[in-house]
Amino acid sequence: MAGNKKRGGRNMDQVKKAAVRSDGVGGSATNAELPMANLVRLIKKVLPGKAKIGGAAKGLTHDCAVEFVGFVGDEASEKAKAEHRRTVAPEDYLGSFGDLGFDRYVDPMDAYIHGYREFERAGGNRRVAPPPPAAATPLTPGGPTFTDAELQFLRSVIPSRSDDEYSGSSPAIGGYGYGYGYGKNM
Amino acid sequence: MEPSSQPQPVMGVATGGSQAYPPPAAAYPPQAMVPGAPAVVPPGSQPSAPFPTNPAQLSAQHQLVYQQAQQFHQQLQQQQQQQLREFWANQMEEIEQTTDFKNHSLPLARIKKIMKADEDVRMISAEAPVVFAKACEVFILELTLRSWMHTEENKRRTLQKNDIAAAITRTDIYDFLVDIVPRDEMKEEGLGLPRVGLPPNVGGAADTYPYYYVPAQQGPGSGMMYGGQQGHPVTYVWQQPQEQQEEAPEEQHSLPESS
Repeated sequence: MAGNKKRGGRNMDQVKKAAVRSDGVGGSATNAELPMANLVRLIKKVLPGKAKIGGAAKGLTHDCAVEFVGFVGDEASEKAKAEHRRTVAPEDYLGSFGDLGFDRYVDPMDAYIHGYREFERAGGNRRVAPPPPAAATPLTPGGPTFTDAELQFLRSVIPSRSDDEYSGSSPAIGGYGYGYGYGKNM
Repeated sequence: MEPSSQPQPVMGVATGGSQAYPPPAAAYPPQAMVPGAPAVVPPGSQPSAPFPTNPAQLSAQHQLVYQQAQQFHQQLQQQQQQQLREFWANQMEEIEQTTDFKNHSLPLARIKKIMKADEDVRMISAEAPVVFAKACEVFILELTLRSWMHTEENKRRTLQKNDIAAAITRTDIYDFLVDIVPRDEMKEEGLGLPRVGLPPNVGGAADTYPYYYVPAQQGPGSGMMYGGQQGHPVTYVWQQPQEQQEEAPEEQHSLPESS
């Protein structure tokens, strides 16, 4: 598969990053890029109740998931670049799933993004108040659960053009991440 | 059951006694097996060319062991293919019924950070982490399911590192993960050595199935599925109900995880 061969060099870089990131301990919890608790909860969803999960298996699953995001994301970025677009769109990721052999992902992810866009058009992020969670965050009662650190990170990575939009929607501070997407919908 | 066994090569059967433990089949080169569901073999069909000896010429005892191993292997393969089909049908149904797009199993900010970790990655739309959070979730679920199949084949209840290595080896689309798996895990998988005692109801022939990796060969099951090395495992049919409202609280970047 040509797509896989193209990724050879990047994979080695990723392995080096992993080694540096975790000081030689694969999937170390303290250096995890994905929260291990969320990951373990997902793993348990697909296993029978009596199953146990070894610690090394958790770490390796985490590394595989991070590699998956980088692998497909890299391909999607090249797609956008080839078409001279500055922003990588969800359609680039859908195409990348097909190109890299993840054919079974294309239809489910296409349905998911369509559902999300309908959700956005219905104003789900701003007008519909979801039932309050068991432990509501004080900043956003009944809203999304971004923490202060998450909000700060989102502000630092989102392009400056959206800052104006964010200012305009400051009352919905909890829905910041989605408000940006709302403005981008076509 | 099928009236006659599917003519596939069985390493070591022709060279060893039916009761003795045959050595690993290092003398034979890997053979390509039929991908996906086993093909229907008409009665009286002849074995394919790669098989060194016509099964009709084997002794009755060898033939019995051969047929048992073949039937077991086909049953296991069918069960695993069925599990994967049910998994994907469930995923599609769950995704089509999703109404809550605010709570994700994986935090969006972490996904976005990983997506932008590569310096070549350009600006990404705000919808992209939403799609990827779901795709990453499905990826973890499928990888875990394929790994658990290997756990069951070895009659264990604990998912181990080598189970994930086995799933990566068996599945074409997981090629990009080969560099991540530690080499010792790959070696263990490649040898195909048994990890538990011989199952009495299958005989020694089952242990002679090494795990093949057939590069670039596509099948309806999205990859090659090999198995049947051990006795009849307790097959787990993946039918757990999916929780639509999975709670995934956001966590600080620096919060240490303990598991």
